[in-house]
Parts: sequence; C-alpha cells; structure tokens
Amino acid sequence: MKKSTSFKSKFLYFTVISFGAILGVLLLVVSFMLNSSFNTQAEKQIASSLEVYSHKINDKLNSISLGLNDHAKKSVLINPLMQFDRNSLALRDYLSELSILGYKGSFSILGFDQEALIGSIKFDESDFTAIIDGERDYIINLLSNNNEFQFLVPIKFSGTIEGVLIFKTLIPKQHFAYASNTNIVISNKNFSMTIEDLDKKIKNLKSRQKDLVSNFKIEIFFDPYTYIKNKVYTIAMIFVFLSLLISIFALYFYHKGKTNFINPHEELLKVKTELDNSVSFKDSLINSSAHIIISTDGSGIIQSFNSAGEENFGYKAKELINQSSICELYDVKEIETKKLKLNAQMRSVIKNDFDVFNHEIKKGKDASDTQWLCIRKDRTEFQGRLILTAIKNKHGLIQGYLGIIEDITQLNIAKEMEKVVKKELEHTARAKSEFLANMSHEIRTPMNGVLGMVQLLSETDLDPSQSEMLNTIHTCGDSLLTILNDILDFSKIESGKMSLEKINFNIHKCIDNALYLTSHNAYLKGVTVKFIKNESSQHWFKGDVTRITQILVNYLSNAIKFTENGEVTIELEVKSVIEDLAKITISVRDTGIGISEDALKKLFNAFTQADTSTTRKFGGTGLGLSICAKLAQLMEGEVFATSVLGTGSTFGVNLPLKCGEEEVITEELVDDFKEGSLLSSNFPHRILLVEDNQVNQKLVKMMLKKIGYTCDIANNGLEAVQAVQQLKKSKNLVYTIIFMDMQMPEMDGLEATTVLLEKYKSITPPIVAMTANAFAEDKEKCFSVGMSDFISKPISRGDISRVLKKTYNLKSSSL
Amino acid sequence: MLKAIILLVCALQFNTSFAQAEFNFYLDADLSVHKESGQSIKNGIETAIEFFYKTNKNVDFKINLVPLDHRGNTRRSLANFKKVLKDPKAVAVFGGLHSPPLITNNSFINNNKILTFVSWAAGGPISRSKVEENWIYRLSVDDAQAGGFIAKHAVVKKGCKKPFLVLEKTPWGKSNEKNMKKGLEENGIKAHKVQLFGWGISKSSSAEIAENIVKSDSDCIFFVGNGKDAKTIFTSFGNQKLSLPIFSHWGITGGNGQEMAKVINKNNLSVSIIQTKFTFLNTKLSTFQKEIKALILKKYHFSTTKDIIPMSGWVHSFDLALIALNSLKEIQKEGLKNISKTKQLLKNEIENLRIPVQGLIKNYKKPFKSYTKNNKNAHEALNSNDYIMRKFNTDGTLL
Repeated sequence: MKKSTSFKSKFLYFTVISFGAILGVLLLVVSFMLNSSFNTQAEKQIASSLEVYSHKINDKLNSISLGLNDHAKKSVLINPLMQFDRNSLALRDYLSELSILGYKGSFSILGFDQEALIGSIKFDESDFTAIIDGERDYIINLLSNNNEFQFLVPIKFSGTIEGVLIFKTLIPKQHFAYASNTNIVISNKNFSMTIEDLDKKIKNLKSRQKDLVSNFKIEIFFDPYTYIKNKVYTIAMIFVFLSLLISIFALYFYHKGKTNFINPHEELLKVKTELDNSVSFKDSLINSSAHIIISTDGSGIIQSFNSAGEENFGYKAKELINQSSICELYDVKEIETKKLKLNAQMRSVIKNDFDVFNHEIKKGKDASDTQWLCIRKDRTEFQGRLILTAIKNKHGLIQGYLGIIEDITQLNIAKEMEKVVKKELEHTARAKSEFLANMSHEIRTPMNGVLGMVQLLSETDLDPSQSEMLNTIHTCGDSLLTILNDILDFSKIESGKMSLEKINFNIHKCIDNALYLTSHNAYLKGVTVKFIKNESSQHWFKGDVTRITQILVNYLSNAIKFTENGEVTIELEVKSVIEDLAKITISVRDTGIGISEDALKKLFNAFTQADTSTTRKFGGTGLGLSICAKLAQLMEGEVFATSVLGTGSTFGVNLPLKCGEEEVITEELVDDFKEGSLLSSNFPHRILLVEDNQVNQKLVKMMLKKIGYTCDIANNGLEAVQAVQQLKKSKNLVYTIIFMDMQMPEMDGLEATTVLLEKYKSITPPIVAMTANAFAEDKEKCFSVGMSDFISKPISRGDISRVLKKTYNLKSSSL
Repeated sequence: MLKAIILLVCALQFNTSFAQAEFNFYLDADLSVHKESGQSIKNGIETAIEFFYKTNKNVDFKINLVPLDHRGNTRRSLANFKKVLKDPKAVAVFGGLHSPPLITNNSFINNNKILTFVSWAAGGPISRSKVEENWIYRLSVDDAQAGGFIAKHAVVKKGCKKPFLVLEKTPWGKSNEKNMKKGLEENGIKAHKVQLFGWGISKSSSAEIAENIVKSDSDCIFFVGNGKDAKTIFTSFGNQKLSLPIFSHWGITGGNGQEMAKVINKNNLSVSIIQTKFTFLNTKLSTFQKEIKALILKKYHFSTTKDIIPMSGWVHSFDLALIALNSLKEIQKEGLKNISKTKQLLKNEIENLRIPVQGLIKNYKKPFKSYTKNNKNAHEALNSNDYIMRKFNTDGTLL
C-alpha cells in the first residue's frame, strides 16, 4: 500500500513540473493567435449584427405594410370607395380607431383617378401610379428626420385595383434597435439622421451599408469599442483564459496518468483480493450444498469432495482427493455390467472404468444424467443420481469433470407409492362409474313402474280426492326422477365420464323441442313463452343436441317456475359464422322475481339456489344450473346470467358449434293419436316384449293395450331367442317388433340381439332397446349390436307409439 | 384650270353632303366583376343594331358600339361619362348593372345632357332627376315599383307575415329598404327585422346574418344584393338549415346563373326572383320573338335559348336599343349633322315616339314621356304589370 502512495506522489510531482514548462510556451502562442484573430472575429460580428438588423427593420416595415393590406380588403373601405361616398361615417369612425401594429397615424384613400375620398396626405405621383397599375404591392417611404414613414397599399374589389390607401406614421428609432453597442443611421437623399453620441472615433471604424427598401437607405454601425475599452482589462482576460486552459490541460493529463499507471496497479491488487474471496465463496457454496459435489481430473481422480459427500459416503475429503477415482464410490459389479453392455452396444472397447461414466460427454454431450448404486465407506448402499459435466479450459479441452450426486432412494420409494395410489384411484373411479350406472338402472326401473302405473291408474274411474292424491304422487315421482337425473348427470360430469355426441341438428328444431317439453308447465302457470329467431341463414349445426336441449329445458323450466305473471322469451342469435365454425347465443329471459347480484355470482355452483327460501318455495336441488354450466363448458362454451331484482332474469349460453349440413326436416307427430283411438288399426304389429321385471312387463302390456296391441312376453334374452324361433316354427309367423330390456338374468339384451341377428336374422324383426340405462354409451352399445331404436325408461305411451309407427314402415320393406 | 378647280370643289362638296353620319353608342357597364351581365347588355345592343339594319334599308347613319368598363366603381363610371363628353360622335350611353354609379353620377349626366339608356339597374332615383334636366331613360325593373311588387307577392300570394329584410349597404339597398317597407305597409304588415351588409361580405358576417334570422322567428326573407354576395350569404343560410322562402331582387341574376342555381340547390333554398315577363324559354313565342331568337342563336352560335343568359340584360337592352335606333331613324330627315341637335331631337323623339316599336317584352307605343315632378314614372318603359317572380332552374336559367 505504501508502495502505491509513493508512486502516486512522484507522478503528481512530474505532472506539475511538465505543465509549468508548457504554460509559458502556450501563453505566448495563444496571445499571438488571439491578437491576430481579434480583427477577424470583430468583422464577423459586425457582419452578423448587420444581417440581423437589416432583417429586423425589413420585417417591421413589411409587417406594417401587410397589416395595412389586410385593412384595405375590408368592405368598410371598399364600399365607400366604389360608391365614392365621402360622407361615410362608418369609414371615418373606422379609420379614426385604426392602428397598424400598434402605430397610430393619418390615412388617405384615393380613387383610381387620384381623387381623394378621405384624407389629404401628400404623395408622390409615381408611387400612386405604381400601386394603381399593380406594379408594386406596397410602397414604403421615409418622410422626415423625425422617423416618419409613409405606406401606400392598393384597395382591391373582386381582384381589381380600385384605389390606394395611404398611411403615415411615426416609428421611433429605438423600435428598430435592440443592442447598446449598435447604432443606426437612417437616411435618404434629402436628409440624414445620426445618434447624438456618435463621435468621430466610431466613424473611423469599419462600417457596412445596406439597401433595405428601394428609395431609402439605412446605415448601421457596429461599435466594437466596448470590447477594447481597456487594454489592461483585455490582457487580464487573456491571462485568465489561458490559466483556465492550462488548468484544464493539467487536470486532463493527471487524469490520463492516473488511468494509465495508478489504476492498473490498484486493479491488480483488487483482482487478487476478489480471487481469494471467490475461492473462499466457492468452497462455502460447494460445502453448503445438500447435494454431493465431486470434481475430478480428466482420468476420474477426485480433486475435490464437499461436506455433503463426506456426510453421505462417510469418507473424509483428504482420504479421497488425489488418491482415489470416482469409480471407487460406486458398485464395481454395476460398473462392470454397464461396461459390458456399452461395449456390446457401441462396438468398441471401454477398458477404463471411468469411461463408463464419461463416455457421453467425450462424445460431445454437455452433461450426462445417470443412476448408480453408490457404496459408502461402511459398504452400505444407496441409489444415487449422478449429473456429470465437463470442466473445460478456454480452448474447450476437457480438464476434468464435475459430478453432482443426489441420493434418490426416497424419491424412488415415493414413485413406487404413487403408482400404487394411482392404480387404487383408477379402480375407485371405475367402481364409482359402475355404481352410478347401477344406481341409474336400479332407481329408474322401480320409478318407471311407479310412474307408469300412476299414469294408468289416473285413467281409471277415481273420485276427486283420489285423483288429487294420484296427481301428487305423479308430481312427486316426476320431481324425484328429475332429481335423480340431475344427480346422475352431475356425478357423470364430475367423474369425467360425460361424453358428447356430434350429430347434425337443426337449432330451431332443438329450441322448439325444449319449448314443447316445458309448454305444459307454462300452460298450467299461465305464462306466455315466446321464441325470437334472429335472422340467420345458418340453422344446421353439429353437436350434442340432447345436451343443448337439456340446458334450454333447464333454463325454461326455471324461468317458468320463477315467473308468476308475464312472459318468458327465448332468443336465438347466430353471432358469427367464420368458415365452418359458428358462435351462437341462446338466452332465456323472464319477468320473474329476479336474483340479487351476490346470489347471481354463486348461482352456477352446485347445490346453490338464489337463497335458501327459494328451495322451500320453488323446490329443486340447485344442481340444474351447475349441470348447464358444466355441459356448456364441455361443449367449449359458457353460460351467463344477468338479473334485476324484482324485474326479471336472463340466462343464456354461448356455444361454438361447427356448421352442419341442411337436411329436410320430417315433422314427427308424436302425439297424433287421440285417447281411445287405436293405433293398431293403422299400424298392426306382432310384438315381443323382453323384460325381466314383472311390474314393467305389466306396465308395457297395459300401455300397448291402450293403443290396441297385445304382446308376447319373454323374461330374458334366452327366452326371447326361443320365442322368435317358436313362433316361426309353430305358426309360421314372425314378430314385427321386439322391445328388449338391457339388463336381464341368463342372457342380457345385447347378447340376445347379437344372437338373433347373427343366427336368425331372417326371422328377427327390428329390435328396440327399452331400458333404464340412459347413458350415451349404453345407447351406442345398443346401436352397435344392431338395435334399430332406443326408448329410455320411464317409458311414455308417446315413445311407444312413435317407435311402432316408425318400425311399421321398416317392417313393410324388410319383412 | 379654273374649270378643274370648280369641279374638284363641287366633287368635294358633293362628297361632304352625301357622307353617311356616324354615331357612337357607348356602353358603361360592369364588364369585370359581373362580366356575364355586362356582356349580355352588350350582346342585346349588338343584336338590336344588326336586326335594325337588317329590317331598315334606308338608314342614313352608321352606329358603333364602344364598350367601357366601370367595374362597379362609381368613380370609373364618372370617368367614362367624361370620356363620352369628349367624343363628338357620342350620341348615347347604355348603362347597366349596378345602380350606385348611375345614382351618384345622376346630376353629372343630366347637367351635361348625356342621353343615357338604362337596361339593367333598378335603383329608384336613377330615372328621377334631382336637377331640371332628365336625360336618363330606363327599360328595366324599377325599385320604386319592384319593392312594392315583391312585398305584395310575398304577403298576398305566399302568406308571409314576418319578413326579414337582408339588403346591401348601398344607396340601392337602402332605397329598396324604403320601398319594400312601404309595400309591406300597403299590404298591412311591417318588416320584422332589417339587416344591411357591405359588398364583399365575409363568411363570418354572413353566418351572423343567418344566425340572426334563425333567432328572429321570421317566416320569410327579402333579399337585395348582387350575385357574388348572395352566394356567400345563401351558403350561410344553408349551413343554418334555413328553410324560409326567399324573395329576392334581381341583383342575384347578375353573374353566372349556373353557379347561383348550384348554390341555391345545394343549400336547399327556395328563392323567387323578380323578373320582367318575357323569356325566350316561353313555350309560345310570337313571330317577331322567334325571329329575334333565331337571329341570336345564329349570330352567337348558340345551340339552345338556354345559352342566352342572363336573359334580362339581353332582352331589356335589345328593346331599349331598338327604341333608340328607331327614334334615330325618325329624326334622320331632320338632320344628323350637329351632334347637340341630334341628341336633343333624339330625346324629343323618344319621349314622343311617332311609330310604335315592336320589342320582345311588348309593343312600345309611347314608352317614355317628358319628365315632370308630377310624372315620376315618365322615364320608365315598364311597370309592375310587366314583372313576374321566377325561380332558378338547375341549369341556371330562370323558370
């Protein structure tokens, strides 16, 4: 440090002596240059000032002329001139108030024939002629030694010059001047004007003369006297200037010397300290790591071994450094096995054990990531993950290796655990799905019986109280079925089992269907339901029409449920159709009780209603809207809702749908038969009902009877196959339709259908699935084995009639 | 030798006595700012001269037409009249378009006995001399009668009750203000508001007029001004979406009619303009009118009568020039040698036309009489029976 300070002092001493010597020489040179350039500089300043002045004076006079020109265009001047009205008060008033750029003065207006309309300013005839003939746009004259100026401008009417406006005013000298060291002399041929204090001394100095306006001259003298008032002052100024200059030079060279000599020396010391710190930092960093960090030379001999390494392997660093190969930390057998395997794969011989570790890096890979069985000092083992990278010099040659070893024993155990848990979860999910399917079937089957029987019972003679009780049972049953459906749908969606169809459908038809399904409730409540179709050419889309209908039925049911008076409106809007992708919005608006903002936010959550009292008053599980939201989400759409409390609500769904192909809609007249009329007379059938549940057997039988049919019954699939054969054999007849349950003992519906169609196709009529398995995949299974239609339980008479009519036509053509 | 000298003198004498008289008709009109109007007056006179010589073979004089441009400047007009005074062949001046020069220089004209025929300037004082002599004759719309005619038309036929008068700030505008107010009073109402404007009105000033009209609750507008200012003012009316009917003096027809029609249509305005009754666009023309029409179309290479614009200047100056020429023909027997005498004789003849002159507007039996303070219309060839209100067609003609 002492060495550094002494070096610094010598340097400073040298700098001062050197610049002291230069100072004298520089002073002489600069003084000489200043002296010689003084005159040139002064001349330039004079020229520059004169230029500025001439512009300033010119601008001032031109501005006044232009200002005057503007006034000459005004009708207050033109009209009296054109009519030569010398008595125009308006003109006199105007001119008496007029000032041009702040200058007051007198005015004259002359007609084209020099006759004065107003004013009596004397003028030069040649000036008048130049203006009236349009030779000059304006003329400026200097009139007297009192700085009096005269301006002449034309007065034009519709582009032709009809007169001349003359303005006479006084412009004081100081209005042109702006610097104390400049004096102005304005002159023309008749007079000259000078500043009183312009003495002979100034006149001897250099001067410039400049023509400004055509008929007068302005001479401007620049006075450099103020710059050289005092010789001593000037010299002092030069010395001050030079001293400043030398000081700046001295500082500059001191700075340069410091940069080139002192700073590098200090930098070296700094680098050494930083290097020491860096080594220490590195050691602490490596030792503080939770991972084992080992560095080796090019042949695998250990060069460093951190604290984590000591702890895990049980060796002290000094026991290994420069003494052992990294290979000694691993299982010899494993190394040997891998070596053999590599030799076989690579068709080359890896002799060196360490090459088993580093062969990938040698081939150019940045790092290798391998797992090894590590051997501790006490010969116990652990599973280690080794990440090996090369340590290269600046030429890119490998100098050694850096290995990071992680004990992954626990991690491997966790992975094993995860696999087991996953398996268990999958098993649970499967069980849940199967449970849901069974639940669906098991609950729907008795419900089918209950509701069917209730329907039939309601058609018998009942007294009013019995009818009422029966209605209550029917309503409760319906509600139970709805709740059941909701729970099943919700569970299905939650377990990710909900699959969507993608079929071509007509959106108008879909909405009509939803309206139809809810119309009965609307009718009972006296609520009007309107459908607004916004015009769009696109009506056909591809998607899950059943699920879209479900959303709409849910919205409509809610809207009808919560509307006491007023109407419900369903509106369809095809927002955009880009290529084959359409975005549609369907909204249902009611005039019901409305929903508060807070409640609205939670409404699409499961098991939530607007408020708890809603459940008491209107019923429901609160699952409906949640299902709608989830269904919309599955269809990559979204639901939305707005509401004003007491005014009504709007629920809607935005759906992206692929455009479908237009088809001819065949209107299905589902309920075209009246009570008591026999469908069988128009569509005769021989029917086989395959159903294991006796209640359901009875129910279907009675339903068929109501519309004029009888049926044979088979209790399972096997009996069905036999019945088909038996009829052909004994009576040489065939059934025209089979209603087939799905889940039955001995042989289920799917198997029975497969057997019939494979072995007895010629005598097998269309088979219609009649099942409580209402999921889409159930339906799909039915069709895949060759069933021609599908009725889900609880069965309605409408469904049966539709199928009978449809199948009658099929039967005619195929049998 | 003597015989030869006698023969030469006789020859010279003979030549002098049989030399044809030559007169100059001067035109003092605006041939710059409203050049179409000035040009139409000139063309009307030229047509009359050609027709006169075509139909009169025994005419002992030659007529030249010397056009002078006063540009609407009273002082230039005065200079032109002074120039006429210096010309020994000058027999009459045809003045036109713009009343101010003729009103301001009225006394100069009459004091210097310059026979002046006005075919397009409506200022009332023009034909009513302030001095003893009256040498100015007019065959045109007369403000003294036009103001009343416009007022009557607006009130009686169009039901106007609160007219807003927009007039140029000139003697012509002011005389119309007086006459229109009088006409309105005669029909039982008063002018609702009056606003004067100067020549060369700016857009901002015209916008102010439009705003004032909107604020005033008026139900119609009377307009007195020239075509150039009318375009600016009417545009401002359009900007304010003014839909009131406008009854205009005929000053707006001075200039390019097509442009004026464009401004009126663009701004959706309804503008009725006072005119004299005859137009070549009439479906039924007399043989005489047809003959003049054919003459004009041929002389000026026009394909249609729609090209004869502005028609009023053309028609009036034709009729007036024809009256002057026929009168000159009548007095040629009485001698045309002394210009002062010729002018006086011509004045007398004009005031006591011996032979009626068939004109385009009507047959002039004695169109002019001696002027007295009791007969202020003595120098007016037309009266309100010869006026009509017309509208611009889209092509710039008057319907």
